[in-house]
Amino acid sequence: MTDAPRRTHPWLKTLKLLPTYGWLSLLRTSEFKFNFYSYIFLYGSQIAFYVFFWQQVSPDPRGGWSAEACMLLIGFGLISTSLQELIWSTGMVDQMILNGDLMVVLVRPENSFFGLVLRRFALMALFPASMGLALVIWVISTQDSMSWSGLLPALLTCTLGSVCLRCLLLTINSLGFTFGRVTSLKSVVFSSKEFARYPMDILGSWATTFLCSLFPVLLASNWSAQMVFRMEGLEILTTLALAFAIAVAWFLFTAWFWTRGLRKYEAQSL
Amino acid sequence: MIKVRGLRKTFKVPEKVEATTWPQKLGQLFHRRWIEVEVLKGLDFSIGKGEFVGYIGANGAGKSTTIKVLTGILKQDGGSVECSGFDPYEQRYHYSYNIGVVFGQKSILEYEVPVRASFELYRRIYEMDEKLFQDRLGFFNEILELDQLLHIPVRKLSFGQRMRCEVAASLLHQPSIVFLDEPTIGLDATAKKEIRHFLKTVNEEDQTTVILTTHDMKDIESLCKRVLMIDKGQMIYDGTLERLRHDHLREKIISFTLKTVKDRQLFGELKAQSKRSSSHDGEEHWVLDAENIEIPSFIQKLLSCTECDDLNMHEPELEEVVSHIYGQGYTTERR
Repeated sequence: MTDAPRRTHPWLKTLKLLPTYGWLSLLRTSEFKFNFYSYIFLYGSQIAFYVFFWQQVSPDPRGGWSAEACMLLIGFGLISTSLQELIWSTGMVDQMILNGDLMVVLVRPENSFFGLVLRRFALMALFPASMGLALVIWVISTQDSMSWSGLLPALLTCTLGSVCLRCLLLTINSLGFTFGRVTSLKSVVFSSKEFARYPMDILGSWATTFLCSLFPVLLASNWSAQMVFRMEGLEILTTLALAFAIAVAWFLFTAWFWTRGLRKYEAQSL
Repeated sequence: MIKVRGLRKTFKVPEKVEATTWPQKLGQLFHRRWIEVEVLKGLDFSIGKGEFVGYIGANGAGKSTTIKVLTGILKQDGGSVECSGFDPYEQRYHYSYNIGVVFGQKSILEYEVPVRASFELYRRIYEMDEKLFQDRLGFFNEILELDQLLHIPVRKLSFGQRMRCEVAASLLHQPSIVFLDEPTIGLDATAKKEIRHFLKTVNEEDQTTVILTTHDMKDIESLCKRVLMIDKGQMIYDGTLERLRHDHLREKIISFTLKTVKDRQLFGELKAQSKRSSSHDGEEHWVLDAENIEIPSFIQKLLSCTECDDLNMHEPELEEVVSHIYGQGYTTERR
């Protein structure tokens, strides 16, 4: 067999291709302008509703979470959802395995997984992310008790949590190599994301552990919000390190599971 | 360029069990028995650089599975595959720089954006430098007239236009091996001709090795010198197109316009020797068994007992040869 000639490493290639996929995403968006305006209207009205709603609730904190802290939760929730939407097709990977899209990716020099999900790269998702970020900044700037120093680690944690959630979803999608369609199982994950909307202190300790590790839905928004309104110094660093470790563990497991699934791939009729 | 030795592939498929009672039918919803089906049963073949090879077989014969193994989509269960010095599955990433693939029924272009954007994406995926990209595009434009299509979103192209772009996209990066799966399926005669001309030109100019899978025998006739035929996972023929015809169907068809018959008895005898015959308004079509009849003397006798015009003789269409083999099996000993 031939020694492979020097080429860009598949993961580095993915990073290099990101601007191209972003550009393709913008081209797709500009092809359907009505959809673009509807999208802006949808997120705009959603944010307006949140601001209005949380201004009506009692200012007394419950379980350590004030109305402002809950606004942070919403802000980070939006950022996390958007980051996941950037690669929204992760949720459709089982479909892409079934309909043969995977074959198209497998015959070109790309990382099979990233090549697949980036076909549906949605740069527009950065719009709600920036709205979420604006919400977070607005809350911090209006509250003396909240710290700016927690913002960067909080955003990092939010990103790591989002990666964990996508990894979880991809692991379930990889079951599609064995079972074909796994839509129902994915619905379970989607419904578990409901927990991310509520302050984690209302949950018991076992549920918190479970929802931070195996079903990592609390990582992205809850931990991030706490970093801004509750944590300081060492606690922030420890939490960030833990989030990083969980994300790496999830990523490695998912990559292994995907590769294992690919070996079972039977492809589609041509 | 391509070396395949003892290639085997097995798939698990659900066993078909006839359920007669409701409990049995319900049971089948929850419990299935699986059986192993050997799709490829030890294929051996080699293909050299610059060859244009037709890979044919009936539906379910194992063509697509072979192509999927050769392109690195599937891992073989047994045997060895080496293409351009790579193991297609284990070295998929590096190997795929060297191949181009056209799936007739699966688009490799980005559906919602203009064709040029898809080409740009491919340029970056295959890490082509700008000059090579422009040169290739210019070369393809000359043959396929892509200029007028580049700014149109793929979803708005006609099927023929889309296939021209699909084939171009798969060859942009100057691959050394190209796998074409039904590249002309569903196209009209003009579009088919264009695609064939393009493929032939690329094959000759770039010395590209091409493996063409198709059910359209006109594609094979106009492009391939060599044919591989597979049946039930086994290679049943590997040789030239001419030999395939010659080996398998020894029929000749003679057609002529009958003006007068000078010797009715001899004419009757000759007609009786044909395997099949048809007459319509003086137009005669006789099918002769070339194994048992000496054709030159047969024609001499025919000319001596008749006065006829437009006498011509031809072989059966490849389509007939192949469908005959699919139905009967390849009977001539393999060489």
